[in-house]
Amino acid sequence: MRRQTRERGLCELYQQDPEVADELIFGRKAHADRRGFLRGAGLAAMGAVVGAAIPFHRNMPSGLIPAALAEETDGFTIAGKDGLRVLNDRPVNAETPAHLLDDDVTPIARHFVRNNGIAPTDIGAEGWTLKIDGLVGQPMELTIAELRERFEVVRYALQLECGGNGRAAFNPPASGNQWTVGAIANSEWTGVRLRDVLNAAGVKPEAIYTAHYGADQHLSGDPAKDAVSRGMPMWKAMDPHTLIAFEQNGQPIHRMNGAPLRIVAPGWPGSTSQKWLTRIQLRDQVHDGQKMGPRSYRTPRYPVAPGEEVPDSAFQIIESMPVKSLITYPKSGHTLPVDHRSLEVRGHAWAGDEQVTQMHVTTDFGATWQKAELESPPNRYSWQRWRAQLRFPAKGYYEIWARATDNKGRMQPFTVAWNPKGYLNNAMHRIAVRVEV
Amino acid sequence: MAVRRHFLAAGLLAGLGGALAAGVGWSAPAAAQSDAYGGLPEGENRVLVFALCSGCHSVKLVMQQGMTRAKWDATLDWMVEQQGMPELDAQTESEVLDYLAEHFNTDHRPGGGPQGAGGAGGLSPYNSMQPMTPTE
Repeated sequence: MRRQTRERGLCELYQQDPEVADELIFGRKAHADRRGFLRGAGLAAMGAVVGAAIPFHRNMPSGLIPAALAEETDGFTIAGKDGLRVLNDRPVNAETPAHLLDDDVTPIARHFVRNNGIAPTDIGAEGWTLKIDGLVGQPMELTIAELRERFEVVRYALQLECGGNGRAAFNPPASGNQWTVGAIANSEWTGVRLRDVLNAAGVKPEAIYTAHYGADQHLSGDPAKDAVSRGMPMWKAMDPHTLIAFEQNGQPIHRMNGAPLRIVAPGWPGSTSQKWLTRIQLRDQVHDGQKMGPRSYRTPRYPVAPGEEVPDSAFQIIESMPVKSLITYPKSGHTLPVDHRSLEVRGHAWAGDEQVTQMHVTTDFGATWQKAELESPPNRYSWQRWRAQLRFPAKGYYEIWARATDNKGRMQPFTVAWNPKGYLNNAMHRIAVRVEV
Repeated sequence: MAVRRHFLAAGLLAGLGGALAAGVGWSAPAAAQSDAYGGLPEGENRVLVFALCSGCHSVKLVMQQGMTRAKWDATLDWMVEQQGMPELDAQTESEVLDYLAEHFNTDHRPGGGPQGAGGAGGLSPYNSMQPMTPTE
């Protein structure tokens, strides 16, 4: 009862005037920049209500509670993105429904967004610099113009997938954003090879791992913390398709996709591909930055039972993503017009560092399989187009399931092996189709 | 700043609608109700949970989860140890866990769970496997 009263009081007071409410309820006066607590006024009171000290109180905007109260994530849209399902607005995370991923090259507006922290606002390419340091012969600091001038500029279609894509299917649930199938994209990225830049700096023989840093801010507001800082072994960094990219589909990179400069390490969990890139350091150990562990972007070394407790020491870093595919046409729920019994279904398939060699579809829940036509990728690490003509024997409800096989003979499973953080769900995608007559 | 003002304005309207409705005995509009505290379900300790969590991230992240009380506890520990969250006193932590474990336990599946092919974006059904009971 007491809490009910407090809840109503807060709402009403903040509706009238948030800063007055701050002062009335907590005795808070903000600094001139409308943040923090002037001479500590109200800090103790607010701390008492939230039951804790507020270490980053200097950053806390005045009127925070009502501003956040009015959070309307349903109405929240991301400028320059179209049709994405927003999972979270702070940090911003949004995925693309499968039927909006039909293009061979994913339009910027349809590229998913996965942020660990708060995206920087000052993202002008002019004056942006990239530092290369650590175990190199000659540390460098390069502008984007210098990257373009000094190194060969290449453009590839490259698949990027979030390591947690498909997490929503895990049971017991795995913590994190509940991605379904849409945290995958295949835009064309223009940039220079990371390998060329590292070679120019001179890679010392002790270097075994990269460490990436970006300009995004940790959610807590603590400037000493990185939002995410991951890395990769040197062999992946030296792959000719691992880029330092400055254009997406020939355009400036979208702010939420890492403008003006990012790594694209295709086929690996997206977090390897640091956005808003400012620094690459070479190290003589596996990088231990934010989200490198103990569980982030890691899975158990051995199969575990659903819900099983797994010790931190049993987790290993995810490298290549597994073989996977999507049905991008038709949209699930499609009904064939009367007198139509056949349908072209199509989509994309990809396999992390590997290539997809076969594609099959079924309309009878896996009793029989039909081989689909599969195109070669335009370049290594691009997803591959597949299509199949289906004929339906009779009126009714059908599900189409699609299954890719990679060059090592590994197929997509019906269901994924459970793991505590809900990574690497490459189970088959499925859609529903109805045949009228 | 512009973004915050926009949210604030929207919230004022939604909140005011609710207040007016309550004042004259109408039932409050559904939108106004569900938007309060970022959409967190009503219940004891809702304000506390909202205030603590939304200091760093949207409660939309909270509402996507389904975890046991022990997992929630471990998650709070992780946020304190690694993500800069202030440490809670025992009483507050217990109240927060009460709310989270009541409303967002493992049976809470906003994005997943067994669904038809039209649901959850076409995810294959996870077959609700439970660890097998060892035979005697």
